[in-house]
Amino acid sequence: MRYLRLGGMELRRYRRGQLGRAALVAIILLPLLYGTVYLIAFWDPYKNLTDVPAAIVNQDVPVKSNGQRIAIGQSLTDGLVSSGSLEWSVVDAETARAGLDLGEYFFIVEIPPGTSSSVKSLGTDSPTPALLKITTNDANSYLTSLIAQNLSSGIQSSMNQSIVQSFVDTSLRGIQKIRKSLGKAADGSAQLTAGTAKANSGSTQLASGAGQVAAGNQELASVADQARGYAQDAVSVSDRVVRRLERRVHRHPKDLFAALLLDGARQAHSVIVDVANQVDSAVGKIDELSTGSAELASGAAQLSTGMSQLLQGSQQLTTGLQNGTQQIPDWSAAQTRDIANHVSFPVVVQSRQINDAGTYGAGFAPYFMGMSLWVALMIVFMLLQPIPTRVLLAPNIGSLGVTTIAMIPVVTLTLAQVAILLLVIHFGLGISPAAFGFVALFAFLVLVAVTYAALIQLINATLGTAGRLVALVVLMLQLCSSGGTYPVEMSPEFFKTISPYLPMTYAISGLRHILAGGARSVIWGDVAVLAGMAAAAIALTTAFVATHRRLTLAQMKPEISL
Amino acid sequence: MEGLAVSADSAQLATRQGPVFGPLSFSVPEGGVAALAGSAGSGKTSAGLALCGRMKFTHGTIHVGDSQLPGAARKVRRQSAVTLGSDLTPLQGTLRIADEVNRAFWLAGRNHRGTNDQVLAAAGLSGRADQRVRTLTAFELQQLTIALAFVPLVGLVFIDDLGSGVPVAEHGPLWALLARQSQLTGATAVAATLEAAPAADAGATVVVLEDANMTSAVTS
Repeated sequence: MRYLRLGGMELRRYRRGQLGRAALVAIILLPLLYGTVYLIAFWDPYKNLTDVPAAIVNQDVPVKSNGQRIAIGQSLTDGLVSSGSLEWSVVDAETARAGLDLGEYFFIVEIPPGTSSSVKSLGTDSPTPALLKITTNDANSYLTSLIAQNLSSGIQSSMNQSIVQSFVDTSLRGIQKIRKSLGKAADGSAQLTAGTAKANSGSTQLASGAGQVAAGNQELASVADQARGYAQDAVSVSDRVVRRLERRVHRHPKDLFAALLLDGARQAHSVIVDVANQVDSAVGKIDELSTGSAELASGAAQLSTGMSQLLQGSQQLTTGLQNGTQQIPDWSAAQTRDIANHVSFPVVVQSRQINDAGTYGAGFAPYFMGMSLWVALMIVFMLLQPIPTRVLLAPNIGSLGVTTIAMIPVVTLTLAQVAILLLVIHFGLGISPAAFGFVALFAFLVLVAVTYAALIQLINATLGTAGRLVALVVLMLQLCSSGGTYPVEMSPEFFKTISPYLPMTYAISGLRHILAGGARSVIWGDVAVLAGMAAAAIALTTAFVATHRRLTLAQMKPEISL
Repeated sequence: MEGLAVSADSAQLATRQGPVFGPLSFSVPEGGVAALAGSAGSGKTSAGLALCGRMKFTHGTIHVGDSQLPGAARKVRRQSAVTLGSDLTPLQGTLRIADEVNRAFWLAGRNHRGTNDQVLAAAGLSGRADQRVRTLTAFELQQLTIALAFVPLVGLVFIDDLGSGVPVAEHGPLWALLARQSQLTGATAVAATLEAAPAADAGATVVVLEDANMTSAVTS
């Protein structure tokens, strides 16, 4: 088609002559230069973090606690140095400050003197926090200050974790000891209860036995009382008999029988009195015995009551101790360590990356590709005319034809640019479109380039020389609003507002999804927007061409000197 | 192809800094040849473009065929072709002559199998199709330029800077070539030139443009 040929002729001026060829090669390689050099430099900047110098100043004074030596400063210093996360130097305060000023150190970590004692104070009534100081110098590099902030929160959380962990571990062990002691107390109390039970049953038996004895003695006493009564009766009877007999004898001195009886009665009486006395004393003793055994019985009863109360109480104590012991969980040393670990670090964030981009460089590849294509096309339009004058003035070419012819050399260059960019990015940097394949990536990049070209063509055609500046301004706006680095939601309102109207936003979104394997619908959405923008730009350029198929005085050169 | 008659009636392009050209009043019959003669900065290129509807002008009117400028610029554009000088749309020295001939045909939207030779013959450059444009002398370049100017089949042709780089003594053949092509194609030919005399000698209508706003039409 003649348009292709006419378009192609615009490029042919570069095929001859060294300068021309060099210019052509430079244009084709331009996005490559920008894109891949940038990517190589920033592929994995965190890898070289180990070369960033930083200083540690350890002023901590170790303390003793419960016979253990606490030296937090030393352990932190050792930990940081051995981690090799940065190029650490352990120096004194003046050296560190001086180094920070001069940029020898990018930041300083200071461990003040009271750190260990603060940690020691944790278990007491007046705990104090341990203060670490991290000093940065933005004059050195703002980004390393950001790294330092990250580091500081990392140190803080890891130190907090280890302190809490050891504290909880110690506390749990203490509780385990209490549990053991409690257990022993429960055992002892159980034994006491058992013994008390025996004593209790013994005392009950004693009480009942003593009761029986007392009852028996009481019967005995009452019988003895009766006996005494009888004995006294017998005494008084015998006494009466004797006195009767004495009267008889007195009255009848010749009554031998009576005298014999009296003699006998007097002997009997003395015997009876003896017996009565013996009975009396026996009864007295029996009475004592009875009283004594009654007291014994009541005492034994009291003892028995007391014993059963004691038993109850002992049982309650035992039960209580055993319950108490059971409520304290039984943990082994390994378990207490484990629990302490979890308590000190209760929230673990599991971060999962869907569509993992890989390294920092791979994640930024869409941004760099999107950006470098715009730059490349800006420069293409500095070398090629947005609307070639001869074509513009030709009588038999429609305005759309003019626009198209102008785009043909641009698109041709673009195809070459994109192809080379892809080759180097894939073989040189190992970036690969996860799920959609190279054809899709190539096609998308070409669409992006065509959209950019259409827009830059429009800008340059309508604004002339000023258009180059405007294209640069648009580049800068897109750098901030396309979401290539931080999500655009984090940017100021202005950039959030303009973001949907700029092509790079969609270019980067589409590239991201194609490279990391995202949602098809998003990619098609981006394709649609880009194609729409390209179509709109071409339409506007064509409309402009249609109304400007002539020259202006400004385009005439020294022909007109006014 | 029918040539278009051109007549200007006090046509002028005036700016705040002063007039670029005009007021011009002249007429060229259909199929005729005219010269816009003047020194550098006299506005002759602008005037030529204005005749072809490709430059706005501020005063007066220009009639091209049955269209009147400035109104019918679009129609006039389709009926005319312009060939600008080497400072605006030069032929590419690195291309072959045949390439530039092809380009002229493509721009004109014409099929041209086998007609390349005719064009080259008309330009006196037969057999040199494969040579680079830069191998042409200034005179040969002018010949080629004139020949290519008539490739678009239109009623009015404007050529800027006729005789550029060629000593005035050799302008005659160029005007002759111009007249021949005009006759062959039927198109009205207007050429801007630094030298009025050779044009007059060739029988062209000469419009002299002067640098400081005064013009006079000389016909012979």
